[in-house]
Amino acid sequence: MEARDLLPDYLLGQLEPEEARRLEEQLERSPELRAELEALRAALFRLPDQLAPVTPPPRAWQGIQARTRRGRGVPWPWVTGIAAGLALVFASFGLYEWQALRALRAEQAKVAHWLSEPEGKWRAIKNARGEGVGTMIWLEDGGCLIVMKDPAPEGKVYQAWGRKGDKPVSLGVFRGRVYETRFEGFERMGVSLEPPGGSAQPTEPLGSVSVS
Amino acid sequence: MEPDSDLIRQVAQGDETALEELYRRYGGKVYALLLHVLGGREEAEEVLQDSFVQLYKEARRYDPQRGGVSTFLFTIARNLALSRLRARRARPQKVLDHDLHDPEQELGLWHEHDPTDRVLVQRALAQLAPEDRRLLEESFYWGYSHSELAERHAMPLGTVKTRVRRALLRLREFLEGRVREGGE
Repeated sequence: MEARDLLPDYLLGQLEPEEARRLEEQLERSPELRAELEALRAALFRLPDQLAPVTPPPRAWQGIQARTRRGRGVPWPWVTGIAAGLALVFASFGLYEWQALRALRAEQAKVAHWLSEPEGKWRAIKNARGEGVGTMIWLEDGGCLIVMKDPAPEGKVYQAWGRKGDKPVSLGVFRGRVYETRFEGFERMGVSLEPPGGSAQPTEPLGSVSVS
Repeated sequence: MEPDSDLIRQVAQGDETALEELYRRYGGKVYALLLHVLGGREEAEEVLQDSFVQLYKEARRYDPQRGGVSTFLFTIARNLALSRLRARRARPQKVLDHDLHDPEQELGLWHEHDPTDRVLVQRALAQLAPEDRRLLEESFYWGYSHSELAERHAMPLGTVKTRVRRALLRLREFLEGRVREGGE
């Protein structure tokens, strides 16, 4: 049997391994045979065109997105950079401040947990001068973590805000550097400095990021 | 519209937007193929995801000399689906009936769907001898070997081989417009 007669069987995976190997050797040597194979392949893979397309459920694409992003992973330089930053912060507090250290360790654990989330998105929170004052991390499930560069100054607290349209909505106050909240329903998330107890409106906005 | 070949090049560089565009163009067709091969929605959806993830990972391997992007994608999807069939050692008993009451199932409403290709292929297949067509389709969609087909259809093995080859060669001729409908 001539090699070209074997091409349909080869495309359909019907040849014995030894037969397939011999045909592949001939394909290597013959551009005409390769062209014939590709023409037959093109015809064979037109078969699915006879089927009416069916819209997959939306979750199918979301699943693909999650898996391709997981494959990319979190960039390690960022992880090590932030971890190193936290280590410096630890050092500056001193071991005798046991309670503070425990709080910081809890923060570090929380940050490490969030950084390990493959679907996490993050963006720097910058002030009006373009200086980074913190980082916002958010997940597809609606969770959001705010990590500030420094603790709130003496006599002040941070206040988290969500904004949809013109109306800011308070999401709570915090004194430490790390604060966990939720972002769903908002277009922007921001942080301001406020007197203890917080304010009805942001009085000293520090910066905000788009999360839509 | 950006050609598929440009999109796959971008996918090879990790561009998720290009992958999404290919999904928008071909997701419905691949899903239809997988429903046809596997017979169940849940498994078809899993393999649909596997197919596009594999496309994303292997986009660098795409060689335009070996066919279009759709051929590359259908090859991935078919291979994955046939692996599933082999693993469960059973073909679907019948092709899935689509549930018209399922809100997630928008039959024939895939974005920018052009029915021209479908009609062309259906007409080309209609030109084949019905038995030849059945053998080719069973081989392609469900991976039946020649000997399995011979047993299923109570035909000599040589006849099955001849009919499958003839069907593919004729399909190619019809699709390339080398044969008019109804004869040579």
